[in-house]
Amino acid sequence: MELRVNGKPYSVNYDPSEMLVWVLRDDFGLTGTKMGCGAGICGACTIHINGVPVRSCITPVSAAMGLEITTIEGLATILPDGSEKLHALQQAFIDEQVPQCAWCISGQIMTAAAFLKENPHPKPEDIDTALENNYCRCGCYVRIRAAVELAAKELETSA
Amino acid sequence: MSSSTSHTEGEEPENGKKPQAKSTRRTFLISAGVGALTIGIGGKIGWEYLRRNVPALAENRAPSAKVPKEPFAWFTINADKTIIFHVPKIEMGQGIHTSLAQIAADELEADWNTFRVVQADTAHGFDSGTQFTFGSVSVASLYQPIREASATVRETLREEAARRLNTTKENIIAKNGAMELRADASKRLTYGELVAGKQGKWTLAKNAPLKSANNFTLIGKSVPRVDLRDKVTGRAVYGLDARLPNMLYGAVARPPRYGAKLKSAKAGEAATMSGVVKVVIENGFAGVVAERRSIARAAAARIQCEWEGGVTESQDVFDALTTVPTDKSNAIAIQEHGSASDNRTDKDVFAQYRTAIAVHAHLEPQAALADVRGDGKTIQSITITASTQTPDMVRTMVADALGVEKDSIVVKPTYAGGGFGRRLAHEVGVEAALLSRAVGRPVHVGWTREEEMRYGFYRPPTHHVLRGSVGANGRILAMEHEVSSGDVLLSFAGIAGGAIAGSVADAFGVDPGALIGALSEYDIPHHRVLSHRVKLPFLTASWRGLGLLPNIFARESFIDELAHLATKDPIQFRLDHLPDTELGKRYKQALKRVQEMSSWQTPPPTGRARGVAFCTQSHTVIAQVAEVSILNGRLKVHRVWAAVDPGMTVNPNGAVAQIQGAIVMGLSSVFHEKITFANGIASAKNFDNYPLLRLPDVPDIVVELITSSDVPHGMGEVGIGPIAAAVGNAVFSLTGKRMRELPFPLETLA
Repeated sequence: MELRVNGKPYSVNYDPSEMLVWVLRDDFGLTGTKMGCGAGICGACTIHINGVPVRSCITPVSAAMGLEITTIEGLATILPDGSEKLHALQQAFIDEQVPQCAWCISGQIMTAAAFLKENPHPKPEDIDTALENNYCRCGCYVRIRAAVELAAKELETSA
Repeated sequence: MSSSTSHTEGEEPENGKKPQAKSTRRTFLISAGVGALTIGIGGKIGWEYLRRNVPALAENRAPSAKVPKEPFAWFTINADKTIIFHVPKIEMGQGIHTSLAQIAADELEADWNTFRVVQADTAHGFDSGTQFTFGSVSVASLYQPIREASATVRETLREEAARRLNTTKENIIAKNGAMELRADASKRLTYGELVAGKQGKWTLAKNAPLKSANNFTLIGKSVPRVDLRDKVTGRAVYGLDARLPNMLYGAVARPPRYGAKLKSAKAGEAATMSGVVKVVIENGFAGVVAERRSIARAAAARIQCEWEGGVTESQDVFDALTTVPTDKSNAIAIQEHGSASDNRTDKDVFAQYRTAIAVHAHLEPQAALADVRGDGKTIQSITITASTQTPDMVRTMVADALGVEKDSIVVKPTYAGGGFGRRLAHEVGVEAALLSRAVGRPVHVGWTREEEMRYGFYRPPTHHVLRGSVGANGRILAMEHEVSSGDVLLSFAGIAGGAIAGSVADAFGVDPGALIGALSEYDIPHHRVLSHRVKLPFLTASWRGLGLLPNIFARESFIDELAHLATKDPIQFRLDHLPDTELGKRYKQALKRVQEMSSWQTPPPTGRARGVAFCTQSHTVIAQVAEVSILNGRLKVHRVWAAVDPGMTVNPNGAVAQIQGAIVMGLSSVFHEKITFANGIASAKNFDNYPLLRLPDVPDIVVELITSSDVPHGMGEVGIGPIAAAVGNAVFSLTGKRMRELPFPLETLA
């Protein structure tokens, strides 16, 4: 069996009912995807499967076979010179100095990235709705709003 | 933006990036002989440290830090111009790695672009209390010591540069990580060159002067956080992320009731499950080591356990236990003047407030990777990589559990995915160590959310009884506040020191942590604050701000009740009752500032109302105004204004973030957070039964910082104090309904 994560193949020889979050983290060492609740509530473990945001803590490996998985580690672009160009959201989260502990941040960014792709011109209340199921215990919410708005503008001008 | 990054020190967890420093390079650290440092404190840090500092904490002061006498212990100065700053405090989101680095780099005149921050482990030589990260005291307690150490290193380097350039130190300028000749900037030696080329031993400069505040280049500036690039790319390593070659995964059997002890256990079918390496049953502990985390958890649930004892009661019992008793014989007055009970008027109010039990809900579950090495008979070394607020407490707890000397244990703190007081104790480190010892390989244990909700410790429930009388002059004549709370700080005596320290705790009678915020600043002729210490059968301890949220919620809501009774404006009423002391003046300034910020004198838009509250914690003063409405029976907080006086601020943007975050966390308690026990166990297992505040319920938050001195005070907790009262007071103003419970009885607003 094989999983494709961030464009690379990974062989899998586990029970296909194993949840993706643990396979990504414990087996592949891709610990950028975080685990907060294990029940699909807090959103810390959000990844993309074929561009769609999913909760990897309640998504079994079997559901991702043959599909493209993207994690936070695969969101930035590596330029020909080897340098890393951050996704507009990652850059906006730095520009707005959003994260505190940052355990939720991979999930916030992955959720927002999928949202902005579908909704390039969001209204503020749309952002609230898109991210309403992503907890942030440190309370960075005000800045999360600002960063998603900033990234939307950035994506618009660079498009 | 600086290129500084923040890392975990030392031997790499597999996925952790190594610090830029290579041990083959000649470094200041080595040449200064840090290995010979003897750093004090042994024993039970949690308890010893608290006992030493309880008076300071109770009096709202930062405890003094014990820091290395050897200033070089803070830095590794590399030949390649990079400087490693070894930071003792734990980065759990508060931005402390950045703030402390700003202080050090500024005073050192280092080049910020090549200044690196590395988390010090427990072998580095910092006093355990200096690593202990709690109580909003990190900047307050280390501001001066770090400046002094950095200045000493700077001046030592200046003297060395003078020797090398054949001049006197007065002719040398320290600038951007280099010493240059005042008359000829081309004659320049970087700090790295000075260290690399040093012949013989260093002699420390004496009486190194501190920089004048006018010359600060980093202190007081909103320098971007050093850890954020790693955090937005997923590279930052936390306790749950720690990895080592050959590691296995562990899980522990849990009882059906809080605090139940393991009477007996049989491995049963757990032992034969595919992927199980070992079932470990010893001394009241039953756990599993397995090749995969999921297998370890499934097997741990299949160990046949017999439990005894533990909590059996339900919530009604704890509510009754927490209720302020009519018998005052065990109460202790922590503030008293005049005679509050004898002075009543016809304008007399009696009110009761309650705060629910809560969990910390740090999103990273507690986690540790233990590597216990030995020859099968004796233990030679133990390394614990973990997200913890108290690295030395981990050592203490693991040493006790494994029966080894603390000296054999090194704790490597990682980033922590939130702390909020929960990571002051570290059960998971003990569990990982027991399991690693049993299999001779590194074992990682990460708790589940259910374990976090049910088997940790809690914010205690509180009950408050307040009485107050307003005189004919419209001023408060008498006020009494009785606080009943479970333990907050005294619990750590039990965690760290067992029964003996527990009895010492009993002798204290009052828990200073539970009483944070209970002392009143108001100028009231007859005034008493009484403490009732409640012993609960489950563990309650530190939670962000300790007693601040419950005590300020009760007190500042009640003051509002008195203001309405006196038919006075709530801000003016407070101003009228504040003394003309230095602190009183700071309160008044913050209140007046927030009055302006919120356009308090201008009525709010139709359908909205505002409420005010203020408090102090770790010597920082904050006043908040909240503006609310009720739409379709639902409470909506539109905006919160906060005026904060922390003395001075090292990183203003980071300080604002702390206030925003604390307000959100307080609002989460206003709207949602409540643990109830049923038959000895918390009912909630996960966030479906214990929701947190979500983005759509988050107001705009406007924060202004007031500079009142040249000394920085705490920022991490103070913001959580007033918010519940500010919102509750606004709700009363809007509806006439007084919110006297946390969480609010929102259904009464529908």
